[in-house]
Amino acid sequence: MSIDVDIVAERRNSGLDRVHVGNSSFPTIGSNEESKEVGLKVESVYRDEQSRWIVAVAENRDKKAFKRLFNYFAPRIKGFCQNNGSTSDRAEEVVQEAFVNIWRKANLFDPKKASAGAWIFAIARNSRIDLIRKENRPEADTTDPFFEQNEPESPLAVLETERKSKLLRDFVRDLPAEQQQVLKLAFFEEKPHSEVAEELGIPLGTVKSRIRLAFKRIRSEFGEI
Amino acid sequence: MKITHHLSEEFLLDYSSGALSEAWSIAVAAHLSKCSHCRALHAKLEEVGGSLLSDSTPEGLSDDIFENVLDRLDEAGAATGNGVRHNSEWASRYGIPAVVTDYLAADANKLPWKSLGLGVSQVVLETKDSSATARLLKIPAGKKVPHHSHKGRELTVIFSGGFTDETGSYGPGDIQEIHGSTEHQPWVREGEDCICLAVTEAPLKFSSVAVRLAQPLIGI
Ligand SMILES: [Zn+2]
Repeated sequence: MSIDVDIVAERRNSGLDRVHVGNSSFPTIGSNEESKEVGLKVESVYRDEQSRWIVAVAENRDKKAFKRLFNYFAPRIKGFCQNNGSTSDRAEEVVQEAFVNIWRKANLFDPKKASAGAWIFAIARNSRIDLIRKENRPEADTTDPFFEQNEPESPLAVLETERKSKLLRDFVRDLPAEQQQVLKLAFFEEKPHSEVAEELGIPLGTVKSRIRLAFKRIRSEFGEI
Repeated sequence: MKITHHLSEEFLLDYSSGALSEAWSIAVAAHLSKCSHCRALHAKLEEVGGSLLSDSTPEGLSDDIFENVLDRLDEAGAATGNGVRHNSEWASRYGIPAVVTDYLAADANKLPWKSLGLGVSQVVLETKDSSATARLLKIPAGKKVPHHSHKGRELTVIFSGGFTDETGSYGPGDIQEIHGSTEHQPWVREGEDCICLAVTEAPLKFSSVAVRLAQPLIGI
């Protein structure tokens, strides 16, 4: 496994996230006593600029960074919602709700677990469910005492996850058209796979096999997940 | 926790994309609370969503949108989690995740258990979802549930105890997915009541009166 990382002794003011060697990224029971910060910082070269903006919002309540996030994502969230048949007004309501939530939840963003785009997608999706469908969005909560925590990952494994997430974004663009179409109908139009079959006028089994093919490629490209 | 029965890729895709309605989503989120394997795939699917969002066509916004957001920020404090945890003694005993207990009263004694007969009792979770029903079920240890069939889809997540049927053996954390008209006869493990969450298509989807009368039983 070869991973390009910058290892820097101390860059506290860089505004970039740091991985504490020897300190697990997941709060596992019993691990806290042994964990020691050794002062070595590992900084990912894969982290995108937008992740730094979210971190700046979380740590410094930085409105300039917030505006940058808005300028980049707000028009895309609007476009994303309009794919679903929402009017311009409704789509803009979702945009506003999403950005209030981005401000509120920025401190929960963990760049080691998700890219900025994935995290903001999840917030926009949930805002859309809340405002348009008027339903709750049940989510697993890592602070729940009955949440089964992951095995702690080494800092290098965390970086490998980040590298793969970055590759995944390019990879989606290169999927065969019919696999991409199924994913787009699911994500843009919030169509369950059964309705995707109806809309495309193809058997449910065909939709399932396209989903499985897309997943198989994601798996083979990124290792067993 | 050794989990052997996972979510299908189609169900996980529907949940990650946001297409899945609330009642089903409770079952998916309950399984994700217990299963790091499915969580990893869910995270990848959210990356797919992020990738599609980043590549989507930007649409121009009305002038005042950012100002409107800024006006709302003062009232919006920083989030501390997904809400209040009901960490009741009862939920602890059965290892029921917060995503389910959030729908229930904090005090276990006030849980509106309703008998379904045959020693089985249920609490229906109140959701805004009219297409499916989520219910917590308690089935006595060693119970053999009568042979029955299902109409439509069903998801069951086990929290404590377990059962075996024609399709396999299910224990804590496992999720069972049933499609269409499956016939089965679950047999609850000895020694421990089986506590599980079952999500079924809303009864009004069934046209036959007989099926609707029998719904409490086949809803297991
Ligand atoms: Zn699983």
